[in-house]
Amino acid sequence: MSDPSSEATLREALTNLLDRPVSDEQLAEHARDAARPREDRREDSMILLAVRIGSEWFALPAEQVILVGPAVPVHRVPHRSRPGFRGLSNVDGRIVPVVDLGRMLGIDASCDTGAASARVVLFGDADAPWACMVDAAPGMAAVADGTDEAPPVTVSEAPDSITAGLVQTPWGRASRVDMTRLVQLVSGMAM
Amino acid sequence: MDLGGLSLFDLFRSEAEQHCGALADGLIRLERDAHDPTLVEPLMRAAHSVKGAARIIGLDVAVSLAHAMEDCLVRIQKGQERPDAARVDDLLKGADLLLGLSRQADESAARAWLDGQSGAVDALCASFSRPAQPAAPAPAMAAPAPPSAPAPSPPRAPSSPPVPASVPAPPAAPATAPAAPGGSSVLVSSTTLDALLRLSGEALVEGRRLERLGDLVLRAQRTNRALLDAAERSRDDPAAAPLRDAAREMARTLSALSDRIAAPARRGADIGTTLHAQALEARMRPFRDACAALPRTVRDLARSLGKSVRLEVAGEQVSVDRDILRQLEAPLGHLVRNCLDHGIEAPAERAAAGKPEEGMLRVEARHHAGSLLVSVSDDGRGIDRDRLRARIIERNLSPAGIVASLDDAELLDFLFLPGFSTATQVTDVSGRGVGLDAVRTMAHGVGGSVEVRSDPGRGTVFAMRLPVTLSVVRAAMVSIAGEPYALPLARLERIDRIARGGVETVEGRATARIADQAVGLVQASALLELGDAETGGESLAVVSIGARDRLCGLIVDDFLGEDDLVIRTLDPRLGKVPHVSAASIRDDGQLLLLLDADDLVQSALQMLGEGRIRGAGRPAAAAGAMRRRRVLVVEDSITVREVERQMLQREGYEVDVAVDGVDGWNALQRGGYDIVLSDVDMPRMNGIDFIRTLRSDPRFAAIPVIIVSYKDRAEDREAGLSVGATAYLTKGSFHDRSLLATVADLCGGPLA
Repeated sequence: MSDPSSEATLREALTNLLDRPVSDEQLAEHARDAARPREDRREDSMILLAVRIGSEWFALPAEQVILVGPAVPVHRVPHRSRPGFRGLSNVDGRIVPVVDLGRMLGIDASCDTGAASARVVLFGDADAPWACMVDAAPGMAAVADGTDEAPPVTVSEAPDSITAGLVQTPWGRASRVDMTRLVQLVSGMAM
Repeated sequence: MDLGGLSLFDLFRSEAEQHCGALADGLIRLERDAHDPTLVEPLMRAAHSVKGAARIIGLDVAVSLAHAMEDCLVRIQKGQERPDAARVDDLLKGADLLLGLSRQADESAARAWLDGQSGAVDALCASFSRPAQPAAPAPAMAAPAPPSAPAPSPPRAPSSPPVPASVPAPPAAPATAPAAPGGSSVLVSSTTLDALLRLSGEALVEGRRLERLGDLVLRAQRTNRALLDAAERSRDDPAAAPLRDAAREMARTLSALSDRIAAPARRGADIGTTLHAQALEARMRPFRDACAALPRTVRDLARSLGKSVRLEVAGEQVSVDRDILRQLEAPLGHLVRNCLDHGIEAPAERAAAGKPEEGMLRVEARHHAGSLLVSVSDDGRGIDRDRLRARIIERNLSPAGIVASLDDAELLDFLFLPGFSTATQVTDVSGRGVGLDAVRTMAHGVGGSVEVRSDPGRGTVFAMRLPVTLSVVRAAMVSIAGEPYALPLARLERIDRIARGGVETVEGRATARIADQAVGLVQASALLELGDAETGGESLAVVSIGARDRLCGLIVDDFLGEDDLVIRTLDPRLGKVPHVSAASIRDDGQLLLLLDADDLVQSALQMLGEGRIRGAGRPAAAAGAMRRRRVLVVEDSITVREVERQMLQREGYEVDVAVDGVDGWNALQRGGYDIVLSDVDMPRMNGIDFIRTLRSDPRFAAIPVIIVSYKDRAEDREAGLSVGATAYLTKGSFHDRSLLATVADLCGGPLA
């Protein structure tokens, strides 16, 4: 998956703006994007990973979660101090960028990686995953399709909203996360 | 080697590559020692084998050529002909042709290529069929002459008409080196190898984790033993009996646990270590691979320069990381050409100086103190310091007064400047001044160095110190703002602990005496924008980096020791992170960032130069944040404007935008911009008028202005530059880093 704000992409974008005609490759890419199944497709039920950040619960589509593991230390990166970006971590030998979902979403809590229940969650592209720390990830929940509720308009209209709907999990009401949107949002964080 | 699936042409290729290489090497040796009968036999066999392989696939022209070469070699073996330089030239051309043939993509390409070479092949075959100069009176089959007494050989006329130089140059060496003698080899893609290396690194980390588990069991055993001892001591106490039994039971359990966990864990860790070392070793190639082309280069160049030169290569078996090896080939070529052209004298000059007519060129590789040392030396005339000084003054590189006071190392350093050459004339070989700076660029690029030593009249040595591998770096680990970082030892001058009282201020800048010089101090945490560091305590941990006589002292929290770190590239999604070159994971799973010493020195010098860091001796006031340079982007297209803004911000600049010339002019009034980027076609006030207005104001006379436009005609460029733009970039500049590079060049980079 290409990173929309990488330098190469930016350069390509600028070049193409000035060049006007769109390349075959770009056309093909757009076609692939358009053909990709939508995140909010309806099936019989959804398997969701419930995670807690501060006092809020989120439900992440399980098929787009790569790994859940014990929380790991995060190494800050010099000159990369955006509030939503925490740094780099070693997760099972992989060096992954770690984002702070709590800060990004304005939740009044930032995960304490020292807490026993704290977990690291890897998501996104398996070859280039992102990591986030959560305060707890107690388990998976199967949520029957069509039972989720539309998010309130204050949430759905917010430019950086990642909530596709509200679902009931055994641990409480959770925001079902639109992973494509989440990855888009975090991709701008590391720069 | 599995030969299944190979075409006949593949077989021919492998045969031809093997034998033509042997032919070229052998011919050069034969030219040197024409009396050694043992040298001719393998050459005949090689020519014969190539002939056989060519016959199998019906490449008749190649068969004729190999046959003619074989005939010629037979005459040499029988002593009917002497292998003089002209003859060896022709035989080498023949070997080149056969090798060139084998490098074609497939059989039909080979036939087409061969048709194009028919003129050259005919000329060579004709030459080989003419017996050349008869052998010297001494029978060729006689015992070899003592090597110490080479017969003085007056220049001879070519024994046969030279073949026109239409034979293609020797083809480039194949990407994969032939198998080392005595061992079979397989091709493995570098991606697989890198994945293997990464996985073995993880195995190492996991192994270490298991090993710590084993240590934990050992600790439990020790504690239990103390418990058991205490229980045994109170043997008479019946109440202690259950305790004793429990402790004994625990001892048995722990012993079983140790057998099942501790011992295998240790073995696992050992295997992990070995596996990792092996995976690293797989990246290594012998130094010989970088020298494959040298004998031929030396022979041909020496001949074209009318010089007689013997090449000696030492340390062919020394193992070198394949990435370094690949980068080493060109610099080695530059250095060898330099020594041949400038160093080694013509035979007459050498004779007059009392030296043997044959010059000596030595290429040597060895490992020393964790580094790879590669030297290229000659026994030639050495570097003429007076001429070098004259050249520096003539090129206006330094005033005469300073040139006269330069010490030897400083003076010789000028040789590595881009475009610098002491040669009075440019030859095909060297003299354009592009070689030595390329050597230095390569050495610095991989974190190494190069220096030159020269003894007038006796010779010159170019010595490169390079890392043995780019995958592992020996580094000093330090803690900065509470987190671990590493600095490659090769780029580090000193590590000192200095008393806080030893910090003085010079013009308000913190300074300490280190290694007999006053060294400016900079808080590493401030340089890296990590906030104020806690540097309590009576002493400061200082890492000195930079040139030996211009050290910069980085104040870090503490030193964490030294280790060999496996380099992992930084996630590309982070963009170029200033001051950080790579990441690494230590044996204990801890992640650390590797700092870029050159980048740090540059920023530290800027920081010190601007006096932003004051009172490093006083922790509270130690940090001085660096300023980001400010860029104003004036552009009416929202998309272009946003893309430029993001590109520059990613690089570390602070960027403001304006939507047209008027908006830009208003923004400028707020002041504080280091550079302006402007479009040309904009509403209200276009770029040309904007720049004209800006330049007419003395406050903005010096600010660099770059025009970024899709208009790329010469007259557009002229219009922009004539009103005072500093640079004019077109859309081509977005294909590479030219926009960012131009911005950095004109304003000095993102950080001030």
